[in-house]
Amino acid sequence: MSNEKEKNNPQEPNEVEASLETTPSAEEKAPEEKPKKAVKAKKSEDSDEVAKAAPKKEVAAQTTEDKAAAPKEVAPKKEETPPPPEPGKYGELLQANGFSPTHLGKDAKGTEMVDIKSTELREVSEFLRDNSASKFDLLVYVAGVDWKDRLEVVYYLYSTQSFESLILKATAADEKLPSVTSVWPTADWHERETYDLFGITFEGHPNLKRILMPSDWLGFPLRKDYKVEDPRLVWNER
Amino acid sequence: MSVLDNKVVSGVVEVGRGLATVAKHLFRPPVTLEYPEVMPDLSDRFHGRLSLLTKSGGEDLCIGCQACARVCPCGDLIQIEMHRDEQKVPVIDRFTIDLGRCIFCGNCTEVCPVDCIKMQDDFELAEYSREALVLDKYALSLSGEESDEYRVRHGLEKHVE
Amino acid sequence: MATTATNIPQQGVFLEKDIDTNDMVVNIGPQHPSTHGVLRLITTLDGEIVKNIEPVIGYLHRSKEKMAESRSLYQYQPTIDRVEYLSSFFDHYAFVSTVEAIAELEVPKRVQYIRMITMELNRITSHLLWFGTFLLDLGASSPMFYAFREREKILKLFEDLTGARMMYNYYRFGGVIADMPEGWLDKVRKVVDEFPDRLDEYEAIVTKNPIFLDRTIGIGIMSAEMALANGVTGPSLRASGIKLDLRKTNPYCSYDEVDFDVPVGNTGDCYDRYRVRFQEMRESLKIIRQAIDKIPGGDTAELNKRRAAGDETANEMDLQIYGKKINLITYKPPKGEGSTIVESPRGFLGCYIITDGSPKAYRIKWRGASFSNLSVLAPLMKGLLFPDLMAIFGSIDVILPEVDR
Repeated sequence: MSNEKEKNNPQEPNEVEASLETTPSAEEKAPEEKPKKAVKAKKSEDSDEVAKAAPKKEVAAQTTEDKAAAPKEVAPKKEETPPPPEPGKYGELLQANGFSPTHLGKDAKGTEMVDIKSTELREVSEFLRDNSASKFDLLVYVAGVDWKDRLEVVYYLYSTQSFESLILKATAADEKLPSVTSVWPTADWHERETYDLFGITFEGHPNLKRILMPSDWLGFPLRKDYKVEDPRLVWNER
Repeated sequence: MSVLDNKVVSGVVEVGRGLATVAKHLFRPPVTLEYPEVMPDLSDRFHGRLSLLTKSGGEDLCIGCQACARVCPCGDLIQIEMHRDEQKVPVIDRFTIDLGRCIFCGNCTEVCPVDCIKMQDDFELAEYSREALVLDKYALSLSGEESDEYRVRHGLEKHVE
Repeated sequence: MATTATNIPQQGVFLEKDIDTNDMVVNIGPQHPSTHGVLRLITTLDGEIVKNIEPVIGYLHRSKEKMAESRSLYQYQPTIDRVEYLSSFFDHYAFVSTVEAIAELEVPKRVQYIRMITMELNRITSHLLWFGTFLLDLGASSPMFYAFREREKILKLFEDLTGARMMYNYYRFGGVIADMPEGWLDKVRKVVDEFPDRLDEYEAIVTKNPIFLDRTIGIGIMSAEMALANGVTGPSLRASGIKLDLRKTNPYCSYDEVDFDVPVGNTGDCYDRYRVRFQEMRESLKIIRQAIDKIPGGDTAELNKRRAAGDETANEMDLQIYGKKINLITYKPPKGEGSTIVESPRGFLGCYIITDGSPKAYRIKWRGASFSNLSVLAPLMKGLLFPDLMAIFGSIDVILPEVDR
């Protein structure tokens, strides 16, 4: 082990420098479809300057400042609206069968995402489970998301026939959504968890009560406006 | 009735086979260690007690950049106070680590730009009080010779200046 | 009583006459040795027959999802180990690969192979611990010592590689912390070579033991429909006859480059779940053997030799290994979202991440396989005998930290 490291030594200083040089390029690769190009050039200039100016031992600290400064420039660039995503396989299937889904494109792993109306949720779920073209017979998880202005619930479906996945999203208007427990019984616990942490009421759920938190807990912890009272939990705000 | 007979016979045979396998272990050397007398052989990468390396002469190596404090998942476990003297050389006034809350993840050792904070292969950390687990700079720092020895053993650069 | 008696497989004759008895509520846990953690089961009994069972969870809730809101991704990473501590390489893989997908980071082949070897070794350790504790639940104590003996050897390998025995914190975005130490692959090969003998030894003690057979065959039969409807995945689902393994069906990492089988059971009883997990250990060994032979660059010692001889290609491969290509302290993945499901030793392990361009994630959701697997216990136990509860519960292989997160 120590031998190996000793032989590595010649590379190590280079590596630190390399980390400086490659940092922007690693970010460059990433958001190609996002309108960031003008910023990109500017950013790499910045970091070059830093590379020249900074003594080697304070590299880490310097890059930190540099990177902390960078996104502030990026922020106003986001106003350009990206083109609406193309409808995917299952989005079209839903549309062809009289539902009105909103296509959201694909997530980073290539899974199709579809936004559906909360009133249609149960019908869509039943349709997707029973239709021979989709056969989503396994509900993998139910996840709540607090977008500050609205609460959203994400359903991740998996088909044991075609081995494909689909992400359904539904906005919980008035913090209420129909329960899909009758479609997938596994939704029972998952919906209880979402209720517990986000306060979304699932109508038609047989046993909607807290599951992870104590039954006398106040508030819904994963909401963004949830105030943490315990001072030991807010240390990172400094 | 013959089914029952078969079951009895096969049961006796299989239980006997299991017992024979277990009995074989009487003649094998033990795989356990007599711990306090025999110390386990730990790897070079072992996540043990945190320590601060020093320069060969025993001066502080830490530059007070706060990188380790920023990446620590346990909050304000690492606390550093420093100032710079007339020659702009960083002087560490206070450096404490609360080992009682440390989860030994190794994040701090990974980001340290001068390879100063490192983990030793020392895992016997029990103390009689929580306060005794809060180590200050003098308790954490290794001597110059120890640091050099550590650097040689782990193939680190002799000293990052 | 007569109605429930018909549901019991392989039972003797019950009294036809309905005797009026009161139901009895038995509380098991939260502190009970065979609940494998802190789980409370409120069981309603009619004599020896379980009428209803209500698992109460949340005693180990450590708010892993809330913690992500106040920590940068890199800061959050060590705490992932604690989501599921018996196979934390899988948690890390799910997390790291999601971030890599969002940031479109390229992962070198050598890293993928290292991840594959470590994950499969981790699967073996997890199944070994299950094997030991499952038999302990059934009343056999010596298999546990044997299982822990083998597990110790693999944990020693992990210690050499990562510095820790259980909380590895080893994967990084786009790489791993450091390359394997010299000679590590030979140590792995040695462990892998002697392991089949040990498995045979376990089978000699357990697999045909009449007491074990009586307690597992035909007990806790879970039909494929019941398993799917309740979200059961992993070996427990495969024991019910559904050949669903994400490593085969949706290959990630480099699993499409190695050859292995997916063991499947027929009836879905406790014995099948035992057999499937046992076969899976052998398949994992197969994967590890192939991965050791195929890993690009080979052992680190060879790489170092090539580097010393001035071979540039060796350097390239090595530099890619380190996750240090990106500045970890303030690493900001671009805005986006991604969801990964991984075949962990207990089933689908899911990680759903939404990033908003800051060092912290906007939302991280963990889908623990045990969470859904535990929810099948109530429908499965209905009408079965109380003494079988722990055998069935043990055979589903639930780990409570993953349930509560």
